[in-house]
Amino acid sequence: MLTYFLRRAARAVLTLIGISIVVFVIARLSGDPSLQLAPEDATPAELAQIRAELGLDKPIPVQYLVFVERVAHGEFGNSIRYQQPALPLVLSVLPATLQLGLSAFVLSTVAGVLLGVVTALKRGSWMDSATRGLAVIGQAAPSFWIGMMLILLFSVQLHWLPSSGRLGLEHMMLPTLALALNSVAVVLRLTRASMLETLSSDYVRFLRAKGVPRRLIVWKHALRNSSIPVVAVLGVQLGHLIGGAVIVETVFNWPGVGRLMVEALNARDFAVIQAGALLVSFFTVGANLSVDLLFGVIDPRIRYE
Amino acid sequence: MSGVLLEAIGLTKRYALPGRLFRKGDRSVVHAVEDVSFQVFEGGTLGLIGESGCGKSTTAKLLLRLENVSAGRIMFAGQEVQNANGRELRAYRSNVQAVFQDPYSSLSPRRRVGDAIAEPLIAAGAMSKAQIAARVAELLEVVGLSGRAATLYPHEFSGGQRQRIAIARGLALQPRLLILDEPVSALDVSIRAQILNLLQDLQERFGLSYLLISHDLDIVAHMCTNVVVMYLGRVVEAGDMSDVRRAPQHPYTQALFSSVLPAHPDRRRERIKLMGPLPSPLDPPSGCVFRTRCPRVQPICAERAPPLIETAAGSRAACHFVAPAESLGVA
Amino acid sequence: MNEAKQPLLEVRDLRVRMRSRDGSGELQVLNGVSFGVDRGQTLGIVGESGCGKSTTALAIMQLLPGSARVNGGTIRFAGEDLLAKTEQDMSRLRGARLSMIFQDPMVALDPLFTVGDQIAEPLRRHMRLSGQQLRERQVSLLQSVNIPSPETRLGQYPHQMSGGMLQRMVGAIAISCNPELLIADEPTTALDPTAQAQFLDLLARLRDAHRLALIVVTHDFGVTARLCDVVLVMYAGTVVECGPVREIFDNPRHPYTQALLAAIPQRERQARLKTIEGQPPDLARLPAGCAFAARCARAVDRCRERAPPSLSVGSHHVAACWRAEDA
Repeated sequence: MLTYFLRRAARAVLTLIGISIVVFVIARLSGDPSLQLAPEDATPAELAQIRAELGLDKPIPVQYLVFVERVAHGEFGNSIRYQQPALPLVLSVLPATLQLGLSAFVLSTVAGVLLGVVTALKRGSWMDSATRGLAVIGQAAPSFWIGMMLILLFSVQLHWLPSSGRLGLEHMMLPTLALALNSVAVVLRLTRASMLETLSSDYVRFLRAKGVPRRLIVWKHALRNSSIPVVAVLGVQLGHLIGGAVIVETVFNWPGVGRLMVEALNARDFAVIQAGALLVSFFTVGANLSVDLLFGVIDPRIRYE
Repeated sequence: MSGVLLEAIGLTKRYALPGRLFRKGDRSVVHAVEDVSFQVFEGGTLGLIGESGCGKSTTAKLLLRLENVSAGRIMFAGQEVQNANGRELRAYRSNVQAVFQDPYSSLSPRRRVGDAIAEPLIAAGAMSKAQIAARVAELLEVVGLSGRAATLYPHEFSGGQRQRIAIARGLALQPRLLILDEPVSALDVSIRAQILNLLQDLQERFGLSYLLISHDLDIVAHMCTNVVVMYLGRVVEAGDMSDVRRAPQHPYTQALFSSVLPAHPDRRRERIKLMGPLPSPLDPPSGCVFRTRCPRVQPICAERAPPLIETAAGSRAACHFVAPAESLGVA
Repeated sequence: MNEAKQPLLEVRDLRVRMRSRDGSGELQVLNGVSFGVDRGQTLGIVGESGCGKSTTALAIMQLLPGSARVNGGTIRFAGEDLLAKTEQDMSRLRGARLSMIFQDPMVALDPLFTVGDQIAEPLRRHMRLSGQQLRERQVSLLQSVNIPSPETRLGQYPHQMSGGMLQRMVGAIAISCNPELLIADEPTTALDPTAQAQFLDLLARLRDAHRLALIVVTHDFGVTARLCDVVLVMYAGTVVECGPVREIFDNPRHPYTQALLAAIPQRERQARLKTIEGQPPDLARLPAGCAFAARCARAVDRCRERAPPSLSVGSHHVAACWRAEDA
């Protein structure tokens, strides 16, 4: 088990290094920030000086190594827009994103798995068909549309919930729902399909032949077996929910990393882009690593490979 | 005495398993096939028998050049082919074809039957479209199906019919040797008989040679002229089918034949019981690999691996305790 | 009080309908199957794919898939009508009084749980064992099926064992609560020859030790020769012949039984095997008369017009053939 974990962890570290290179290169390719900082009538010499100050005159590999060294010390440089260190800036908005992402994750996992199991057990009933119909819509509808529809209904029409900002618990409800809906649909459909397949497998037939009661078959055996593909997807979903909340954060004006990143990209704010991308990647890779570990716990065949 | 069409000499295949992350030197090796030699005679049928994990499927893959040998040679009609490439390999492949066990998965469900049979002909690139179509119709008829079958999909046929299609595909390039890997195991008893008869008819009609891999000893006894018995990647006995069946020399062969079910309720056979489980191919026993389960094991079996020798009974066997054939000359 | 001795299991005129695989309609997969088995007796049900032998076995255990339903007949076990029982009642009987084992041992057990856990399940449920008593029983069960180092094995997972060992374990689980009836559906088809012979010996031993009523479903006549007292031959959902095992081997009366026996490769290398022309019938379009008539060398008009009933052809020997007498 330990070797399994160490191998997966090593792979995670390599992934992060790869991401850092990609982020670094793309940020550099997107444009030259010195043009943004310099006054309109700057001479080439003055531009060159600004570049030198920002360290942009050195060759790219050297810039990368400098970047890595600084990252190791937590220094991402200063945000060009805010004239503050980038990392603390990103960290300051991170809690908002995590709050939203994790809430959506918990909601989608619990709701998705429960609904998936129930619809599998009650296959063919009206409840099954209705739920699956809603799931298709939930998966196909873009999150900004869902967000706006929710705002229209619950904020504008019913005045039940606020439409933007982050002040109290009621502010979290609509954005969480908008973010989670797509994920619930994915988890539900996968759990249902996996459950149906498991319930028709040969070992379930033998369990019945042994006289094992139905509730044990479903909740002890079938659930655990069906969870394997679901756990894999959950890892991906967690990554999406944390890193991909950009749209929902924009629609609901939620002060998180997503919104910050959009602004930074528009402004070519290298430091913030890099800090944000790496931080989000760190959480996503961490989520996937946890999922891998969970596999090892659930499935003994993977543990012993 | 017909000539030797295919000869395997010292075939060996070892697979290296990936080492662990922090112990570089600890690479495990699976001895899938170890020093296997046999001959397939022109117009004859060689049976390759053994149980799961004995290496018979790997041997088939080596002969079909689906895998490369770790060591050893494959001689086809006198030519070495284990390292052949390009044109030589293509020529060899057109001479040696295969029919596999599962008629449900060996044919692509998305392809019409006619296309599946034509595929090797198209790949060989030597015939026109019209010629290929004619040949496909001909092949279908040879295996007992109507020419109309070419336009249908595999799922519209029964298991036995699909196996006929697979045989037609195997015959497309007019091979001299057909490797049959459990060709009838997945079929019903009455259909098995049809397919086995078909295979025999085809052999007579086209002068084919067969390498038959099966764990069903009755079928092997029915079809084969020669037999090779494998255990844990090694040959433990080989010889004429009638010799080996009448008087198996190696303890494993004896145990194998004694486990065949009786043909009649009154005919009970004393089954030779093997002790213990099959050893792992990652860690084969020293000396004779069968010693951990052999009822006749002695200390010498752990020290030295017995060579395959001619026995007095007529077959070749790898056991320290078989009666060797009388040698002329050196003792 | 009814003094006539009833067999432990009595199946009368069992009929089963199933939705066809492509959903186009329903097929009558069992068309009036009748037989009886007693304790200490071994019945073999022989036939080829699609004949309904596995369906019969599953119907007895009430484990038919959702697409199938019983549409006629009775199944009586120790005097009780199994078809009238609820799923809950059946789950109390299964494993405790009647047991079933299946073909492929590699998929018979849940891969995520230890073998010990899965052995314990019926013991906990039916015999209410726990703690030390449970453990001792698990170990003794494994020993009774010749599995070495049983204590270690209990903590292992199915994927760590060979097919032969797993099937023996499955057998141990099946008899763990001392059932009266055991059904084995193609128990050795997925095993190597030596494992097969070993398992059949084991099955015979368990049968004798527990005085089981044993039903073995198989396509292999060798298995019936080894184990069975009585043989039932099925074709297209009906029983075509039934009789003592020696009668079936020495004096088969139904043309299908004769053809099946003739199609088995004998040990000697022969010229040709005798085959049965044609294909098994499409269950959706069964002919009016005998289902085997289209492939039968001895068929006459009468055979095609009316399906023959089971006619007596010997002592405890019946065959559903109009021409069974002229064998």
